[in-house]
Amino acid sequence: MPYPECCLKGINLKDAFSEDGDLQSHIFYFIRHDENPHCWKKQSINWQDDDSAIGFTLEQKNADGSLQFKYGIIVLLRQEIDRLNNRPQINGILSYDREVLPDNRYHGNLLLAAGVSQKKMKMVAAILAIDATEKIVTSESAY
Amino acid sequence: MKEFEQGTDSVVVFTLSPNRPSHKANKLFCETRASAPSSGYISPPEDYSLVSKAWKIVSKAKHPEVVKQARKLLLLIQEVISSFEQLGFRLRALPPFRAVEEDNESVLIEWIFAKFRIGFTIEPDPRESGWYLVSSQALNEVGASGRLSGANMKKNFLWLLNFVISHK
Repeated sequence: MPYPECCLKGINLKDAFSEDGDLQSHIFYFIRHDENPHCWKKQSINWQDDDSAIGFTLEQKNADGSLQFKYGIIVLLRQEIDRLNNRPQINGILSYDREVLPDNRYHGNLLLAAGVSQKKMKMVAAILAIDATEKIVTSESAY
Repeated sequence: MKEFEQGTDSVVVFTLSPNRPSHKANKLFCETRASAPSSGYISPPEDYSLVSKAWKIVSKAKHPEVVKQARKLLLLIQEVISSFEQLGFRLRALPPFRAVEEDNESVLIEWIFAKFRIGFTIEPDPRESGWYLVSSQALNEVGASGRLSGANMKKNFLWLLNFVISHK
């Protein structure tokens, strides 16, 4: 299945925004660790395959029934991710995939190459925050 | 006639305020520590300082080494900013530094502007701590980074402040 124009990154951190409303970079940290250290590091996204994807993402629930992304979702342009991947500071260490889950057909991942240092990972996160974010959608603004 | 001054050892030259204040107008933050910087006592920045919000967050961080590194960095930043203000640069209007403590006890201190951002990543292992400057496509995708440990951070921060004043 081809990738759509946009992907959606759920915001689950209450300190994702500064008091001034700026998106802070740590929301884009790659912190999911696979057992295999040679695998790319992942952070979950949903692909905006259709008009229902935003509503579906906003309504995703944690195991305890609470909203998973109650602070909203970030809409990222895939074209921008591709462009950023050619920045000299990133140079091909960024990628994405589709990883359909039983309860989430939109699911995928942003990927960071194995072996990238923590310092570099955090710089990549800052680049995503400043240059890939198209808009923020919250429950109030989505409907 | 405009007055110019070479702010650092970079090639950027800044315009000085026509109402350049006397060097006696403001006290350097570090002067409040008198001449005993190694006495162990660190006084917090004033509430209106650009670093005061970040200072409050890092002071509550769990890892003592992270707190130590972050406070040292923020004091250095405050000292440099105070020096620039004494030279007539009006920096109070700049956005404040922000800090967040991460799940792994690291701290991120960020200085966020519309087209670029500067970050200081403070890790429990000082050898892993670093800094970065990244700008958007609108500002030509600048990228720079380095380590905190073993670096001349005063010189590095002067360079970063040069960038801020030139592009804010």
